[in-house]
Formats: sequence, C-alpha cells, structure tokens
Amino acid sequence: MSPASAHKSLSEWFRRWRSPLRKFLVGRGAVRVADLDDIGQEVFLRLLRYESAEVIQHPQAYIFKMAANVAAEWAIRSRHRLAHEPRWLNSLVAHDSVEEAFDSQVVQREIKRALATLTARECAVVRLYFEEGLSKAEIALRLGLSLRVVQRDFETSYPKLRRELALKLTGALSHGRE
Amino acid sequence: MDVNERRARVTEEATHWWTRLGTKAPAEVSEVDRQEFTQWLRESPLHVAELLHVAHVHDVLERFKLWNEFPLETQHEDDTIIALPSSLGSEGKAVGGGRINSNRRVRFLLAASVAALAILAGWLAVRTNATTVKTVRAERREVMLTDGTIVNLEPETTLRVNLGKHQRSIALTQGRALFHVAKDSARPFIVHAGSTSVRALGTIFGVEQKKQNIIVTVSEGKVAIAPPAGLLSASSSSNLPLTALSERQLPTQRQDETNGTDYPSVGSGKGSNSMASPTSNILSANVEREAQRVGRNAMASGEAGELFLVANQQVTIQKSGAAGPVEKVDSSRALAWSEGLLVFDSTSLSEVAEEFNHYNQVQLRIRGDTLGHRTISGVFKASDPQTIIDFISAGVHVVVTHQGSGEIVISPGS
Repeated sequence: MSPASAHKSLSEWFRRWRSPLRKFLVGRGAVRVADLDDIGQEVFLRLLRYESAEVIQHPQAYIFKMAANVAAEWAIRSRHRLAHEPRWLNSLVAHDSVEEAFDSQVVQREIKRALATLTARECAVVRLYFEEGLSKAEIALRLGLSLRVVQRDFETSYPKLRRELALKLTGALSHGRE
Repeated sequence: MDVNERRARVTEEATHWWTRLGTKAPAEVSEVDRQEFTQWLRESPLHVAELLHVAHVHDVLERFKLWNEFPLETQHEDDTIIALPSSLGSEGKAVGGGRINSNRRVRFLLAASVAALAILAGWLAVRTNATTVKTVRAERREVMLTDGTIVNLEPETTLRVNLGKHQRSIALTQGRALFHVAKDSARPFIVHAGSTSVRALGTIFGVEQKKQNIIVTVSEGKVAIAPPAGLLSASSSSNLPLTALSERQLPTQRQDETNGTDYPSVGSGKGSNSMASPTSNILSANVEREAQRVGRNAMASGEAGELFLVANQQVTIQKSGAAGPVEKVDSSRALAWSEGLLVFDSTSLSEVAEEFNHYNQVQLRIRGDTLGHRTISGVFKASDPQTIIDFISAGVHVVVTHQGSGEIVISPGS
C-alpha cells in the first residue's frame, strides 16, 4: 500500500474516532494513563444513567465522549483547587502539548521497548496495520498467514502492550490533571 | 480468580471488542453486536476502563514512528512452541492447527528449541509464573511446555500451567486435553480438574470435563488419581468384563431409531457414507488386543485413597467426587478426539450437534425432540460437519437450512 492510501485509511479513522478519543486523551483535560481506571469508573456510572437504546445507536462514540467530558471536568476542577504557584504555572507552559511529548525520543523509545515484548510475527502484523494501513486480510496475504492467525496476533498484542505501556508510559505522559 | 487475572481477562475481552467494532461506523456494525457491546460495557466499570486502556494502546501505536526498526521477516518462527514460564512478561500463545510431527528427529529439534528458549527464559527470569493457555470454539492447539511435555488442547479448553521447581502443576478449568508427559522424576506432573487431581508417571493420558464429570483416560504408562478423599466407589478396583466398550465393533456408522434398532437404509456395516473408512485404520484390531492384554493386569488402589490407572483404562469422576468403576477401553477410540475424530455410540443427535459445535464456527441446530433424541453411532471428522449432515440425511428425511454463514438448522422432513 502506498503512503497515500495508508494516509487515507488513517484519515478515515480520524474522521470517525479520533476526535472524541483525542479530546479525551490529549485535550485540555488530557489524562494520565494511571487515571484511566478512575475515568472508567465515572464513565460507567454515567453510562448507567443513559437509556440502553440510546447508547446502542453508537456505543463507541458515547464512551469516548463521556470519557472526554469526565477528563475535562476533572481538569477544570483540579485547576481551581490548586494554588497558582509560579512553579505549577511554569510546568504548564513547558508541557502544553501531548503531541509534542509523543514526538519526544523518550516516549518513542518507550513504545519501542513495549513493542519489543511482542513476538516477531505479532510485531509484523501490528506494523503493517499501523504503518502501511493494510487491512487484516491484506496482512495475511503479505505475511503468508491465515486471516485467523492475523486476527489472533492482533488480539494478543494489545493486552501485552497494554500491560507494558500502563506501567511505563505513566511517567512519560505527566500531563493534564495534577 | 485474583484481581490481576480478572483484569487480564477483561483486557482480552476489551481487545476483542475493539478489534470487532474497532473503528467501524455504526452502519457497519450489526445491531446485535452493538447491543452486546453496550451490555458488556454496562456490566462493570472495569470493562469501561479496560476499553479506554485498549483505545490508548491503539492511539499510541498510531503515533509510533520507529517502525522501520522492527523486521518484517516472520517465516522462521516456530509457532507450535510456547515458552511457558512467563518470564518475558507476556503470555505465551502458540498458533493453533499445526500438529507436531511425532517422528523423533522433529521432536528432538523441538526439544532443542525449547531448551534454548528455556535457557533464554532462565536468563531473563526472576521467577516462574503460571500461564494460561486456552482455545476458543473451533480451535485446536498443540503446545509444548518447557519441560518437553506436549499438550493437545481441544476447542474451548482452558489450562493454567505452572511449572515449578518441585512440581509441574496444570489446572484444567474447562474442556479437554491430551498430555504426553515428559519424564522428570524430580518434578511430578499433576493435572487438577475440579477437585480431582491426576498424577502422571511418564505417560500419555487425556483429561476431559464433561457435564461436570471428569473423565480420565490413559493411553500409555500409568497415572495416579486422587479424587476428593474417601469417595472411591467399591467397584473402582474391579475390572469390567471384557465385553466392555473396547470389544464392540469399532468404526461402523449406524443410525438408530430411539428404540435402538438399526436403521435399515444405512445399516450397521460400513454405511453408505464414505467418512467411515479413513478412521478404521487407526482403530485397528491390534489396539483391541493390546487393550485386552493390558486390561487384564489388575489395577490396585493406591495407598492414600489414590486410584491407579494403566493404559487403556478409563475412569469417570462424578461431580460429587465419587469415582465410577474403572472401565477397560480402547484408548485410541476413547481418545479419538485428540486426533480430531468424534466417536459416537448410540449418541442422541442433540448431543452430537453439541459436540460438533465445539469444533466448528458453523453451528448445527437440531429442531424437534424426536429428531434430537434419535441416536447414531459412528466415527466422524470433527472439523467437517457436512459429513454428519450427509449422514443424517441418508438415514432419515430431514430439511437442512443454512441460516446465514454461521448456522445450519436440521429439521424433521414433512
């Protein structure tokens, strides 16, 4: 797949998902990975208040929108609670973009370290999906694997990465809520 | 289940939902999927939190820029071996399907690779943790543990493996598995299923959980079984007469009316279906004779309420913990499932369908009680439900309806 078509599939992802998810992860109220559990708890409570039928229309969007709202609310609350010490304001100025933080070598190396815990094949599957934007069927064809194997590699990679990143990225992403 | 285990399981579920619904628009996801997903989210805050974590992983991967530092060659990976001590911090997952060739050279190579892995693992390891190996519906796996033991997992089977310094402990929480145990006198190999434990003494044996009963069948060597104390039945030390299961004629296929008479159009011979023949070879008369020979060796009850089982013997431990009588069986027949074969002996069609459904994504449904109670006998390839459908159709007038790609309904013909 050419970089252009990879870009196209990614922009499709942006259009549908990234906005609510990104707001939640890197917006003004961006959260630390360690806070995801608390956010999950709050989103869960809110979720119960909605009619099931309403959520079913587009459950994914509901979840991330709620998560973004919770995160933003918490960020505002913590901003008001904390004394406006110069030290705190300085740190805010210094790290106002999580995007930049992700570009930093430290974070990239950290993601690389987490990826290195995958098997070579899992890593190849994930790489083709994200770097080249291939579909799972295309990945299967390229690597000479069955679709089921690709699917499973995909599903085993995420929990592994989740364990690794949850522990290590917390420090790297010290943004948002104090 | 401890907190970490529970969380790990929820992470798997969340990943499953993420890849299933992923970045799809609502129109691309079925109403049923959305309903189930919503239901799942509403079950626990942990579910919501883990979904957010998984989304975070996805987001992180998307922003990763150093992909070219990872190679794309994967062809040389041997995916039938698991490094079980989870010393690398990750759960070992082998890929299903590939069967290990039983010839010695291949085994030696595998053992050598395992040894190499073990050395690497030992180097990195701080301690040995338990690892879960599981299969889903329609998935069979053969895995080699780091001690050289080979385990065949049947569909929908979960094993928890803990290879410690002094003991090799396996917990079978669901399904069934065949163990080719590697000898290691210093570390006994124990399989726990329900409240029963089976201690292997260098052997091949199968353990299955079926309707809350535990069935242990020995193919080679000897095992010691410890059901919950004092519950061995009086008959457990006596052998069945040689007219037991093993003596029946083997790979014929037969359809009976519910009263058990042979169905005339198919008969009790080879039958009109071709699927009977390939299985005949493995269930040969030699095995039969061997079964009888070994079976004559009287089996002794162990000292501390243990029950010893030798080759071609089988025992069923009931839910209550009571051990049934030891039966002499033809282990190749009783363990035919480990070869991908399903053996039915006057089994009702509803049970047959249930058994097939473990092994296949396409699910068989039998409509109507009369048809459901109809019994059949025969040996079938587990991965090929069409053979059973053909077989049923040959014996009785039925209507076979394909509902979408996932379900086949067999109803009585009018």
